[in-house]
Amino acid sequence: MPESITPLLADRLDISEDRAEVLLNDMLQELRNRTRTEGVQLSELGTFREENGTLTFVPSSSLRRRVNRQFEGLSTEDLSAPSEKESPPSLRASSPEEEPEEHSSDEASPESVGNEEAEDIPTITLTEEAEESPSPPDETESTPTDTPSPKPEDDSEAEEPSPAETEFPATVLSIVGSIALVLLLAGGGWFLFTQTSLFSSGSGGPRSGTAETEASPAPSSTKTKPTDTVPAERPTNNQSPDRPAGAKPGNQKAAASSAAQGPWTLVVASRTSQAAAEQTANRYEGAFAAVQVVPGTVDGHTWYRVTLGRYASKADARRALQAHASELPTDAWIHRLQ
Amino acid sequence: MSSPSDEEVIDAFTDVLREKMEQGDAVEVPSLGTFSVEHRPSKVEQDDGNRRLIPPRNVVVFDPE
Repeated sequence: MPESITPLLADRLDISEDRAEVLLNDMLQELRNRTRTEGVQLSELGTFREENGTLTFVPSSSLRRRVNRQFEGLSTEDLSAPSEKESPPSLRASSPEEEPEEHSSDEASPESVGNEEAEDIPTITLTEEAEESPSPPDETESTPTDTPSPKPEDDSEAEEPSPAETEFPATVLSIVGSIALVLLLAGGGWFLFTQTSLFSSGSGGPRSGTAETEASPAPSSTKTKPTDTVPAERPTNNQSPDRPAGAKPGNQKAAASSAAQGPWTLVVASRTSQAAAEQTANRYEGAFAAVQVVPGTVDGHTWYRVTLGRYASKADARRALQAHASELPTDAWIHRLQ
Repeated sequence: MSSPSDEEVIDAFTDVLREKMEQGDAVEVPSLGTFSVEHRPSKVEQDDGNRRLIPPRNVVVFDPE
């Protein structure tokens, strides 16, 4: 049931309905007079004309868009069968065009709409239909959308490689991944081998604790072979020292397995006084476990060595030293306790 | 209360019609006609062997008195 505009107009203008009716009638009378001669265009609404005694109204484009807002963006789609020369299926996005203002409101004929939007009609072409000259009527009628018809032999042949093509990349990826894994393992093994080899070759160097000389000891560090006695008062925590963040996982495992007990240890400092040695040991207390001060006698002099960890073998100690090289003094060495 | 001007009346007339039609409601204008909105569903149109799918839409319909 249509609603009368008079009360709506009165409400909008905040006047009485009687007054609104009078104003409306005056306006409409003027409008009718003008439509007989030249037509009246109301912006945002449309154009009124009188043709053959009949009043017509053509809505403006803005009004049409406003009314059709929920379907804005939809455009006519071409469903016709493509010719043989056309390319494989492709979709072109259509942009909503402004409809012309001079448009019949009564009919809004699809033909006119279609003609207006012919330029941006998305074309849907079907390869199957393109290659067969007579398209079966059942297929075309039952497929108003872009669903493909039964595939002819040519297309089936063309589509056969596609499963193989999809499998090929997966096979290639698996091969590449396995090769990468092998290379990674080989590289890791080579690295470990070289590192252990380097260390064993450098066992006689200045860093190693096995350079046991009876020379006069330096105040900071000594690489001698003293007569190690009972460790100092520091609690004997025979567990492996804590691993810093940069430690290598392989070294961690080796150190963890052998650090509980063992004659080998890392000496990071050597002091003539126990207090000085303990002060130095305090620096490593938080970062490492099994920090001890071990006294030893060299040439009749007693030296107090700060030791870290206990390792069952020299190799384990070497790995630990390498793992913590950044945190230990450069002249730290490996030492075997008696 | 002052009487609205002709321009205000025309603007109010236009605004009321636009708002109502946007909501899908029909409005009757005495001595002019009825403005309404009709929904046209989507359909397949065939023209010279070319088949096209016309999308659904709402259209303004004017029924003069």
